Formats: sequence, structure tokens, C-alpha cells
Amino acid sequence: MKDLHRLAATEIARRVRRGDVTAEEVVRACLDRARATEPEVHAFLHLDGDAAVEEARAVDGRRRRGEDLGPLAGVPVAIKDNLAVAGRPLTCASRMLEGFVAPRDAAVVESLRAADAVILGKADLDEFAMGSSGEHSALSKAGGARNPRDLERVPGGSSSGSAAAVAVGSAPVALGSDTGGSLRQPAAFCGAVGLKPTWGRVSRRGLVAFASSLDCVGPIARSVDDAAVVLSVIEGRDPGDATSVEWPEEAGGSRLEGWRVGVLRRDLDGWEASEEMERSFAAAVGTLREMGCAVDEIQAAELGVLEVAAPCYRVLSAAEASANLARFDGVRYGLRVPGETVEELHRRSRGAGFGAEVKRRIILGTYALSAERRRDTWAQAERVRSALRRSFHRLLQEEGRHALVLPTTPTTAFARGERSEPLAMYASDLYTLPASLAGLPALSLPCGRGEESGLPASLQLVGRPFGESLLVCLGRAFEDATGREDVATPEASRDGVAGRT
Amino acid sequence: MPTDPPDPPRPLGPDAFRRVVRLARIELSEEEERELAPQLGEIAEWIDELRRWKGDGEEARDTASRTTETVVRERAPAGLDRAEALERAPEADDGFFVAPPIRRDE
Repeated sequence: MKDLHRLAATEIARRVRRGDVTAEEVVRACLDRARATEPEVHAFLHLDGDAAVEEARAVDGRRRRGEDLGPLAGVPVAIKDNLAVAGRPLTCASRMLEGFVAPRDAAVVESLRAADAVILGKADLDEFAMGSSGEHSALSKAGGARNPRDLERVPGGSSSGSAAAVAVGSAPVALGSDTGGSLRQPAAFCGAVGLKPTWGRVSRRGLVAFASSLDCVGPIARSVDDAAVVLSVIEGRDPGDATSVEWPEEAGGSRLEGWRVGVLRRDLDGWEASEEMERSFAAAVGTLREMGCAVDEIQAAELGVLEVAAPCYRVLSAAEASANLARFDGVRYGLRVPGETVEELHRRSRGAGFGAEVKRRIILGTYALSAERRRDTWAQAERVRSALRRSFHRLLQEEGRHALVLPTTPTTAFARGERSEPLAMYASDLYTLPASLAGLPALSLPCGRGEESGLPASLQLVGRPFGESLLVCLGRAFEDATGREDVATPEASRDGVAGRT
Repeated sequence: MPTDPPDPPRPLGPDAFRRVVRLARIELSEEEERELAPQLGEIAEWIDELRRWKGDGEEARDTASRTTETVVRERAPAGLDRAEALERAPEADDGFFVAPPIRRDE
């Protein structure tokens, strides 16, 4: 069957359950697509075709025996390489963990297997999920994944390989993690859908921790429906992660009448979007109005807190990273560089094992937690986070809005090597950080193309706590009204042609 | 009437940078130090904006709305057995992780 790699995950599962196609055929089609595109896209760090085919055959065997198959029957999934898959490498794209093999599946991988999905391979990322371009992978042989819409552009990060693999058709869906935008920003740059769940909705057991009060696991897909079905599989309370929770169901509904949506105006210094992004976003807001949403505007400056959201995020995430990554000390696992004392061994191993961005963040986090700075840096950042949460609570629950909308990123995908200075790189997360700090769900989906760059523009919907079903309902309607991005063809991107259906 | 804290010295000068790097237990080459020290100094000045934020009069809390705290009993999944753990150790001997002495003279 031709073009199986273009099928949506929901369609693959439907056909595999009916016996119209085998899981093995689907996996082989995706592996063929990966083999054809990987020399240019470099989305995967580890692609184990034999193991994936074996898993697919097991799913086919269950169908032949008449067993009921799960909602992801035969669906190949790319897994960001900071999530554990038993018996496969778990490297976080870091020299520190090169050669490390995971002893257990992450909770989300267990859930995927229970739903009859097939693990395709481990996707590239910015080292330890710290980055916004995909250029900070220490183990990629090509200096990081490329954006399949334009190979000279970055795919975004840190879930760079997950987004690139989905956009180019090597996998219909992928798992990634999102600490400050790492699902949404690469999905936006690659013309895919990224869904960051409410903090606590999905277990993080088996995710290598970066900043535990912010880390979320979620899907990247080519449609809102596919992202929603993956979320429905991986969500839920896990006794192995005390921060995962049960939640009250919120009805999604399918009608948009009576929906209130707030447009967050970016009237702050440094918050300006590019002109082409503003035009795409304005058109998207127009579509929301045509769909029946009541739209009003909120001035970001009036909230009195968003102007310090970015430094707040940098401090909190770095402080937690400095604590979480203390475990990489050259003694229990990972890289070891010998030293005459334990401290020397620690310093040498960490100096050789971590890349520049990881070192920057650990040093910044150590500074923020130092006795002299803790009160006016880390503790002050916690106060900012509390105020930001209160602001979003007022805007969404108290004032009765169903969602806030803003672009996912200030610009479309930027060129490789363009943002070598850390502060310039950090600016690409500006619009995704607030939802992360507030612990809220956020859905990023394509909203046309930038008029100048021709690259995907993006719309971000931020919802109430555990209001993912509302976001999915709104996102699906928007997608129906505006169309979806087609699978990227790197050969077409070289010729300046890219598809949208 | 609360008063503003006094202005501290420059957030992360060269001496402070070296001290923080030592606390972070990371060895840097001279080249890395030349690159990272000014970058971190710039980032430290940028995050100093936080000090100037006047707040909204409320204290830091975990949640935006009043919620009932729920104590969740965590069930530890089966851990690795000794052989599995040591299999991933950079250096092991006789069933234990090997590490050098805490102090050079021990």
C-alpha cells in the first residue's frame, strides 16, 4: 500500500484493527521513510528497525488470535531520548550518558505498549532537554536535527528530533517533554501539533528530570486528533510518580457558541513578534471569530508580571536543573574521568560530560541557590510564579474565558547558527514560558505560513487546569477551518515548495 | 514600611563566577571560562530584573486558588537489583561502586 507513512495515527489504528493493513507494513513504511530522509533530517539518535518490526509482528499476532487491540494498534511512535525504553539507549543526547542502556520502560512507554503502539526509535534533542533550536545535541553526528520544511533552518527544541520525525513522516506521532516550551516550539517550527498537558496529568516516571516543577511529557502529531488520542493513552495517575494526579473531567463539547477566548496582546518591551507572525496570528484570530468564539483582548502589560516571566523561568528551571543533574557525578553511572579525590572525579567527569548549555544552566542554578542570592533570586522567582498563576487563574476561571491565545513563537523557524548568544536563544521561548510557569495545558497548532519566509506560523491555545478536552475541541475546529500541514518533503523544501492541505 | 534591600555588588564578577563554578563541581578549561564567564555575567544581570519587581502583595503559593492538600501515598516500584545497578557503574568491584577517597591524604 502506497504512502502508508502519510496516514494519521487514528487511521493507522483503525486499519490495523480491521485487518486492512498489518502493523508490520506500517512500521516498514515508516522505516523506509526514515531511511530516505535521515541522511538530511537527522531526527533520530537510535533507530532500531529490527526491534520495531518484531514489536509490530507481535501486534499482528494478537490480531490474528482475535484479541482486541488498543487505540494505538500498530502506530509507530518516536520517543525523545530523555524517556526510558527498556533495553534501548537512554542518552539525553549527552556525552555524559553515551552508551547508557535503560533498565526499565518509562510509565508513558508502558502505556503506549498497553495501547499496542510500536516503539520506532529514540529521537534527538537538545542535551538534557536544554535548548530551543535542536543545535545542542552532543551526540548527533550532524550537529542536531534539521527542519524538514527547510533544511537550513532549525527544527526548534528541545524536542527537535520528535518534531522533525513527525513532520517528515518517519513517525505519525512522537513523545517529547516540555519544560518551558520544548513540545510546542519545535512543533510550531516544523508545522506540527504539540500538546503540553497540565502539570500532573501525565506521569514523569522514567523521564530524566530537568526541572521537576515544570517538566511535562506530551505528544507531537500532525493533527489535533492524533495528539489527543496519544494524550488519552499516556495520561492518568501513576503510583510510581507522586506528582501525577486524578482530575475532575471537564466536558469538551463540540459546539463553539458561547466560547470566550482572550487574545494576549504582547505590548511589552522585547515581546514583539515578527511582522509575518503578527499577520498570520491576526488571520487566525479572525478565524476564531468566524467560528463563533467571543474574542476579547488582554494587555500583557496590565498583568504586571509577564515582563519578568522569562527571568523567572530561567532562575527556577536552572535552580532545579542544578539539583537534578547533581546525580551525574561519575560514580553511579555515566561518564567517569578519573581523579585522585571524589571531588576531582566529580569535577572532571562533569566538565567532560556536559556540553556548554548544560554547564551554563547548572552554574546559573547554583548561583541562584547560593546563600547570598537565594532570597532575591530564587525566592523572588517563586513569588513571580505565584503571581503569574494568580493572573492566569483570574483571566481564565474568574473572568470566564475558556482559553487564552497567542502565537507559539515570536518568529518562524530561524536559520542554523543564527542565535549563538544565549540571551538571543532564550527569546524564542518567550510565549511558551507563561503556561509552563502556571502549570496550564497549552496546544500549539499551525496557522498558515509566514508571508516572507514561507515557513509554518503557529497559534497557541492556553487552557484552564485539566482543560485539555476544551483545547482539543477548539483546536480541532480551527484545524477543520484552516487545513493541516502535509508531510514535509525535504527535497521540495530545497526547491521552495511545501504542502498544506 | 518595608524598605528596598541595598543594591548588591555586580551580580556575577570573575571571582564570584569561579566560586560558583567550584560549587557546581564542574571543571572548565581556560577557553570555556573565557567564553562562559561574560555570558553568565550578562545572564545574571538580566535576571537581576527580578529584584526590581515589586510584587502583587501576595506571598508565594503552590497554587493560584485555595485547594485542599492531598497526601498521595507513593508506591515505589521494584528497584534495580545489585547486579543490574552495578552493570551500569563506571567502575565496580566486589559488589560495590568504586570511588576515590574523599580527601587526597586518606
